[in-house]
Amino acid sequence: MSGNLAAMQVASSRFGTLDATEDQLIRIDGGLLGFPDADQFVRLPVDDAEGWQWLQSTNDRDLAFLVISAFRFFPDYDIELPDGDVAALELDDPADADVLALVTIRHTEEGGIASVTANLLGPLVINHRTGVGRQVVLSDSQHSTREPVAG
Amino acid sequence: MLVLSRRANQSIVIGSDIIVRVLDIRGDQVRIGVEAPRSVTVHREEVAAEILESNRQAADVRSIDFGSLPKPEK
Repeated sequence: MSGNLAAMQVASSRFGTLDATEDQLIRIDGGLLGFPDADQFVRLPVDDAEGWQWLQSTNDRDLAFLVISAFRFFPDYDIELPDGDVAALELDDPADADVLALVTIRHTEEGGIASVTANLLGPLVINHRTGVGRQVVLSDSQHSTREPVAG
Repeated sequence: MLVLSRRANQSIVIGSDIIVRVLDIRGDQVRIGVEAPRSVTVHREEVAAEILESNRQAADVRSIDFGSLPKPEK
């Protein structure tokens, strides 16, 4: 990792042109389900929302997701990663894993927030040592793609 | 798509190290066993489809008051 040197410029419709540093970039091999080309993102904090991050695609200026740390918002969240994912991510040490959940916000007809839910069935697991992540498909049925995020 | 007919307790082999076995047939339900290397992920198709749909919905982020989003528990 090369400190704070700008590694690449990223064009985004939401944030304008971003100077992304190496440690802000994550590579998602194979992209996300439904977004196979979105295989690299910049992580950005969300203004005024502690614990929240943006994942802005470096390939698609219009594509950005809101994500949260699964363990910070759901302290009881407990997952067992499939061996294939552990191997692909070179996760020798569980402490190297960042587990993020993609968030869906549904709106009221007036444009307010109707619900905030997190996808705990398909978490994004990132090895923060290598900057490589994967969307993991958990096969157990105790987790949901629509887990309410409590305030 | 390759289509094969199998009875209970019969298998198909994929490559050299994946075996899919029909364990049991009851009415319209079939129990299937999969033997595969640990590096091969196996999951129900509906699960992947559900996550794909969830990703599509998550990609629709409109302008809101981000300060009103829930706070982490720890």
